[in-house]
Amino acid sequence: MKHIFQLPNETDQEISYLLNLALKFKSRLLSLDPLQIIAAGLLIILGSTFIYSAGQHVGGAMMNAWEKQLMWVLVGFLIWLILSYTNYNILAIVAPIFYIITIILLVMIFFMGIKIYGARRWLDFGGFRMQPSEFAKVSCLLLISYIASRKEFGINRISHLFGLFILAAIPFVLVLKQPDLGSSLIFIVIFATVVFCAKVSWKWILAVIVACAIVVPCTYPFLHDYQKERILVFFDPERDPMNQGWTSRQTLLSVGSGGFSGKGLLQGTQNTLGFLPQSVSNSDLIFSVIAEESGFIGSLSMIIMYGLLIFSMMRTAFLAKDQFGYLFASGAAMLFFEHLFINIGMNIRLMPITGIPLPLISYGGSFMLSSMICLGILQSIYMRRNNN
Amino acid sequence: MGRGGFLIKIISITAIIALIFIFLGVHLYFLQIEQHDEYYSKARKKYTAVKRIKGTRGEIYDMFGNLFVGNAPSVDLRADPNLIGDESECKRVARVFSVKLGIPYSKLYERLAKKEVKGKEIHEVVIKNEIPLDLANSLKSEVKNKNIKGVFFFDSVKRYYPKDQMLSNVLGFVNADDVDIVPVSGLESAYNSVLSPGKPNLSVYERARDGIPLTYGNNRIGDEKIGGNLYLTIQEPIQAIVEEELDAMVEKWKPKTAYAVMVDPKTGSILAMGQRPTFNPNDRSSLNGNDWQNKIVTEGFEPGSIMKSLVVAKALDLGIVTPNKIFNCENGAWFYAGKTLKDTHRYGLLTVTGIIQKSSNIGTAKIAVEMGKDNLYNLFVKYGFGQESGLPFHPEATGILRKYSKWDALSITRFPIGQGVLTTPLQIVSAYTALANNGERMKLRIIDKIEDQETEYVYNFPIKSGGRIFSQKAAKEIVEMMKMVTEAGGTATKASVPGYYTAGKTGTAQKWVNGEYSHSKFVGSFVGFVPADDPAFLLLVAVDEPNGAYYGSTVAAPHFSNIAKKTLRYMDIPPSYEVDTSKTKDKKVL
Repeated sequence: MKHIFQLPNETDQEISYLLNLALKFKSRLLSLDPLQIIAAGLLIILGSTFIYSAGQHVGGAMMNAWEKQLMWVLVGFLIWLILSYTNYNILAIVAPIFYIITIILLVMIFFMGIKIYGARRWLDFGGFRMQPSEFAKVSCLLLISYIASRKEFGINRISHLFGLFILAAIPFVLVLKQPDLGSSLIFIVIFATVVFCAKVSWKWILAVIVACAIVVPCTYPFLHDYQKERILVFFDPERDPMNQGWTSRQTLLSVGSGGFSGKGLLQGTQNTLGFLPQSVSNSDLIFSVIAEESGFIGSLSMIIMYGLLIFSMMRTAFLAKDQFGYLFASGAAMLFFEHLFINIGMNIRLMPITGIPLPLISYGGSFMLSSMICLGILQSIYMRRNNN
Repeated sequence: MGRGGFLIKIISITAIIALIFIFLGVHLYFLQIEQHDEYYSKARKKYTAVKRIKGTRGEIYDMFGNLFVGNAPSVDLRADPNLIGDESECKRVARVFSVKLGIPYSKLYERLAKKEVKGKEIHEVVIKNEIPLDLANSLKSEVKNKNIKGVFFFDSVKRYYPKDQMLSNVLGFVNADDVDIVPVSGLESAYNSVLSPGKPNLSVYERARDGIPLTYGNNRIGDEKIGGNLYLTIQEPIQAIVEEELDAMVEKWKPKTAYAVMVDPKTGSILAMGQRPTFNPNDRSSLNGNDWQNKIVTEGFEPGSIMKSLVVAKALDLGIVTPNKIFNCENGAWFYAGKTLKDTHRYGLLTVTGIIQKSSNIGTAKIAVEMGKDNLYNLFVKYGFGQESGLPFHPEATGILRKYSKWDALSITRFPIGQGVLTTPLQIVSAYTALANNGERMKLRIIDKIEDQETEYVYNFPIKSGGRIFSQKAAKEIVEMMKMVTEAGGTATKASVPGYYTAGKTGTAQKWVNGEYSHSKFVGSFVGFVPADDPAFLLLVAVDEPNGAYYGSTVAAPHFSNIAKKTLRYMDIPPSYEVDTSKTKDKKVL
């Protein structure tokens, strides 16, 4: 290693070593992606603020949710920091193990999962509730993008592609059975994104698009009643204005009544008055609370923040020095984007209501941690980018 | 890899994402800026509620605080015709509720199927108000099981009469329409201004989905008003004794009407007051005709012989007669002023005591003639005949006391024996307090006190004297005579109460039907007080148009005795003398 400072004696040499180490750390620090840090940081602050706001007039556990969220943010930050300085290629070795663990957790849900609102999505570890599907999203992305980046892997060979698909299909089926249709579809999107970004030929891409257009509507008869109902209500909200359609209408009213600058922090009424389902007003429906209380200014700022975050992730994908980094970064960008699009979409009635949270904003430890893992790996990819 | 393909893929993903972001931003702009007013007003409408707070009507208690009229929790069932569904759904819902609630199906269907009035959507129609809780609960599960949409249950209160038909003619009842409570009869009507919580309070407030008002913000929530409580002078246990005996009377004599009034002669407080026929205010579907009327107040009757002791008492007071003064009763027929007055039995010479004991018309008429028209007329006015009782009942009959100037030659012989004078049972009872209360008449009272629940102010109704009518000495003398009535040789031995001296007087009046005295329609009555020398109560029992017998001594006196016995036991009044039970038993055997 080339020393910048040349000093005459032994002690000075030691000092110079430390100084160089500090400088090296400084250059490493500077080589982090500042755009991601700013965007993610602001989103986390925004999220915690409104988790606080959504809880204060509701009471109960909701009141202290923001404190818990900040704790998860802290844990997530530490993981992010460690991952940022870890070579992401080491993670490739861990990927299969990480994947298998999350699959085991998903299977465990069927035997010891906690049922909340009719779905088994949580595992309880001594008081800590964990949602394995959130971690499965990251582990699945990690494994798929790693395998797809291998030279031996022939993306255009049907047997290889099918093998890759099975890796995504296992968590897809497990999550679908919880049941959680929204989250399970994420796995399909992850798979599709990775395959699309890999060296797959364009005719395959075209074939898949055509196949989807045919197959997707055919799955309708196999959906659960409540899922069908949601889709029907989405297309016709007046179908059931009191139950299913209720949430859809109320989120829209929340967002619409926010106006330009909103009703003010803690001043929103749709949530306080119970028109939004209060159990999820700080997670799945937090966008409604933000839009109502901070208005167009708040919701637009949030969207811009997300835009910057996704842009930084795509830039990381572009700058990645190897195929694995590129595939993982683009998959992660798509993962984030899909979450935020579905979530915001359902809050403004562009999408049916599903249990998809808003990344970095919605209340929930598992999703906060898995998001921070993603961002940490992306920092690691960004730091080891091509500099030409 | 082909660098070109890589770039195209990155750029296409980024571009699609960017486009969607722009779309989201624009969409939000339209939602939050362009359509803000619409959504804001919609949201406002959703959580701004206007509610009429009915307030709670005051309750009615007896003297000791036993509840006679209260408010029971109930449920109002409303529907939103625009949420119920289409025609076939409306039919289904109407069928379910019409069976369960007994509402005509067509009427209900019409209400549910009408979705708007003049282009304005209807969002609330009444299915039924004041549904009892248990029925409401079964309806709720029915609604859930049959998946009925758009019906809502609201907590409410229903006027409730826990004692069913007891005292119902006095208490009256209310009708509840959708908005307000309308008093119909009885005390509910007479004291409506006290009982009513006043005009419904209009509240405008922001409410949560479950209807609970927000604790902050710009809310106007009126306090719930509470009406005042009434405490009656009625004593429920005595009322129960009286009503039980009234049922027995109805069973035995099948009369048109039977009634009884009991007062405390020292205060004028009505202790019990009942009539048959009656009704159950909780189930007014069973109500026949005028059964809800309080006939004790609204109907006059000719008192007949009951009047005699009232007149003789004054004659004693005036010194015109003494108890032992002898009158010739003309062997049952006395010609006076062109008409013959008859007695039911032929009597020769009778003392004044005898006249009362045997209830001689001729003897009483002769005493009255000696008293003179002026004295008699003034006496009747002092007794309160022809005047309202002062009780809160409306309408109240005043009876008919012919004006002084309109008295003819016969009047002086007929009025003292209770003919040609129409009195209400209340007037008789009030007049009789003078006999039982050493010559001082007491005005009747039925309200003991009123309690304003909001200010906790209590108004006690005063005891009012109707003025002294005769001296204590005269009172003692007439009471002695009236004791004879229930003893051997008197007209109403069946009214006697073993162990107690009972003072009383029977009355049997022919009813005035189509301009002449009927020979088939009678009012048999008995009025008396026990113990005679220090009365615990004064009781009037009357049977209007009994079947099988008609003398007051037969149709009213035994029931007087029955009520008196139980009441004395309840009041724990010590007997005046020992009763030889073995002797009475022997008598029965004989």
